[in-house]
Amino acid sequence: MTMRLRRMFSSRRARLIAILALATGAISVLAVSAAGSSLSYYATPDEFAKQIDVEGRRWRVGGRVVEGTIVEENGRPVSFAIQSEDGLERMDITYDGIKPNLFGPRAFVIVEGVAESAGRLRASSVIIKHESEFLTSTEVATPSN
Amino acid sequence: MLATVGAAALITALATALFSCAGATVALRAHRPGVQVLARRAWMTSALFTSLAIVSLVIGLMRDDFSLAYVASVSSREMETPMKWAALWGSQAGSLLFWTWTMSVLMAVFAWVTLPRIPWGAGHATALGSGILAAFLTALVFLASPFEVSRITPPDGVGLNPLLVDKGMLIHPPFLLAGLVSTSIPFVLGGAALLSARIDNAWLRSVRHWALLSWLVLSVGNFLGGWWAYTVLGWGGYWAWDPVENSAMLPLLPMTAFLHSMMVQERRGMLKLWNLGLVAAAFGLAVFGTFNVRSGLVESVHSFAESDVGSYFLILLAIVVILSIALLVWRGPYLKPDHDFDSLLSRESGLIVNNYLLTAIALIVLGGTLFPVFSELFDNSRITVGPPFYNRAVGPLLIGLVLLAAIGTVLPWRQAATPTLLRRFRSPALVLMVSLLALVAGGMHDPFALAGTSSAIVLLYVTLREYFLGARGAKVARNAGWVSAFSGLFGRDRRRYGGYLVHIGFAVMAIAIIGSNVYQEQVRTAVAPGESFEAGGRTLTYVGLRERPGTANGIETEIVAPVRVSKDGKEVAYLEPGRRLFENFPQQPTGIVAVDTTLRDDLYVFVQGWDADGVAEFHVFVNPLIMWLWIGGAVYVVGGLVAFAPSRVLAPERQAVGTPAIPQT
Repeated sequence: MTMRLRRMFSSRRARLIAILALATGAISVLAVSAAGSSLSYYATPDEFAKQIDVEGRRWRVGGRVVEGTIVEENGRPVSFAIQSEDGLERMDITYDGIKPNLFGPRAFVIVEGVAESAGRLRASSVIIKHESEFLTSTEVATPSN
Repeated sequence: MLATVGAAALITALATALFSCAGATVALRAHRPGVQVLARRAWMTSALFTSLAIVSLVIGLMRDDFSLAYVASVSSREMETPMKWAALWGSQAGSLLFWTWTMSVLMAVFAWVTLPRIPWGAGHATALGSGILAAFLTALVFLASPFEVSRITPPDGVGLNPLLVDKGMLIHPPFLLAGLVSTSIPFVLGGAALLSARIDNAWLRSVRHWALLSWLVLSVGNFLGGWWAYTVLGWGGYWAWDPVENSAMLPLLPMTAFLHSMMVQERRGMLKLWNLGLVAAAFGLAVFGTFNVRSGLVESVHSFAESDVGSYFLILLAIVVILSIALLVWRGPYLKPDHDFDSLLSRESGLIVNNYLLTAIALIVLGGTLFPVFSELFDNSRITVGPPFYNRAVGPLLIGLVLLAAIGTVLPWRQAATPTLLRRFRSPALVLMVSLLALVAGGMHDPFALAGTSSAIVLLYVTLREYFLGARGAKVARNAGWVSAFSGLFGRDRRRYGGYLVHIGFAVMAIAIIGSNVYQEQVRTAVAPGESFEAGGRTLTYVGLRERPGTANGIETEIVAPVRVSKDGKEVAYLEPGRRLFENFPQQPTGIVAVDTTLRDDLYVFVQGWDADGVAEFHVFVNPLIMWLWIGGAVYVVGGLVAFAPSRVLAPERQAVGTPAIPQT
């Protein structure tokens, strides 16, 4: 057995492969430990509403900003609600960061943060999905007067 | 009219591509070289028809022909001409047309220039390449045609998505799309080598320039993407590890690996299977990217709307992967290495470790991107991984790559006596120690930053030493002056010295990435007009709100909050951050970022909002060393261009295997 092992590792190629296999183990450990710290659950507002035990966990939720729910302070949004395209459930977001470009009613946003309670999320980041097919809140090509 | 011409041109292009594919296959089966001549011409002709199609769409955009549904959805009357060009790839169908057109043109050039030089595999290359082209044309003709006609012609179009109204939009997407597309040519060459069982160095000789071109264009596309995100999107960074950004970067990794590992096959006849696997991986990942951006598989901020094209590309991706694996298994017996390693401390093992690291990075990025898909399969919950995952998992590997580039430059091919190795590594090791000590003494304590910066410094040192030693050798040999000896290096061995230039750019970028990530500062404050605050060692004085009328492209008005930046009592910059309001998208203003750039750091200012009294809230990032990211990127690209330019004389080192790279000192 040891003879066979020794013969197996006599080739330099085999030795290199053994070294790289060890490195693979190390990198996997690195990747897994890195993943553990930055996981968040992705959900739509409706899926989020169905979850139990949401508090304290990190979530990423995508939905459209509901018209008339944006509360601003100094022109900066501090809270708003989102809803899926065809969804029923609303979800309240509180936010204290940078107002992203194109943020506004009906914008599709992806918010990430910690759930405070069922249906409520304190967002640490809000990003706008920049869609190629763009939804406007005004009717297209209406002559302005 | 335009719609008819465009759609007809696309169908004709599809027909010629299919004819070419069938013709080349028949020519191979029935040994009819005459048919192959026709197939090659048909392949090149399809580029004419895709060109006609894209010209039709451009004319439609320029003439505001809103009877074309695509034009109406991405353009409007008052958009300026450059932005109408940008609208060409501003949405799903247009970008797919641009993609396919680029592919057909690259393939026509390939058929024109390279096919006559590869008689061993011309037929196979034609069949495979025109088949791929036909597959993309099929998507364009049947699933996402840019030539659909609106039922009712609207008086005006919607205009381009406000986020895309930027000059960066003119160059970033075309480079990225062309880069992704260009991975198809090395794939075609590799496939031809496998199909025709000519897996010696013949295919490598033809593939080098194509692989280099692909790598270069992909790199430029990614750099421009980062630059655009930084200057336009306004969140203070240049890379967010978004699934679509990852998809754009992924093919670059195997392509970079291939440029390194092909040298091992050229010199030592090893890694034959691996090299073919890499070009297949690069093309597979490019197709994965087009699929990912169109399928809604992974929630991304950049993706196109979900459509049927997504599932079509998934099938295409599956075919590419299965076909590649099947070919590699089938030709396995031809893929045995000619040699074993002479030593583990050799250039070839260094290059293999380089490939290993690049592959590991690619797998981690791919795994992170697809994480929600896997977790949904196993756990029924979509779990995403954020930027911290990538930074922590990829960061150390990138540092390893920098250090390895330095070690690899010093390692000789095959093997060297221990004393020689010791002598060669003496001064780089010294530089590593000294730079570590100097950085710690200078106040750097973050282990990640220390390891990365000192590795980059060593890489700079050994690379510059290569230039110095090379120039000194040439100076002695040819009795020339320093300047001509130095510039002569690039004439003699462009590939090697261009490659070193890329390494220098890479090292500079690594330092900039570490600086801007680890040492970024943020200041957020609300100030009344006339008040000041401090950020990044500078004083910022808020002047007061001002409104200015919009220019064009749907911009109605811009509200700016000018800031005077002074340092040590002297005004150094006058910045005008603000918000831009659009006519068609009134509730979705975009931010105007204002940046004061110096070699040391960037003062990146934007306005969060303001109240009725004109009190404005500013968010300021102090991003160190960002300028060096662009400088490093420029050096990297110049190096790539140098390596791409054909060498006048074949370098003498190339023939003599195992010549020490460094003259004895």
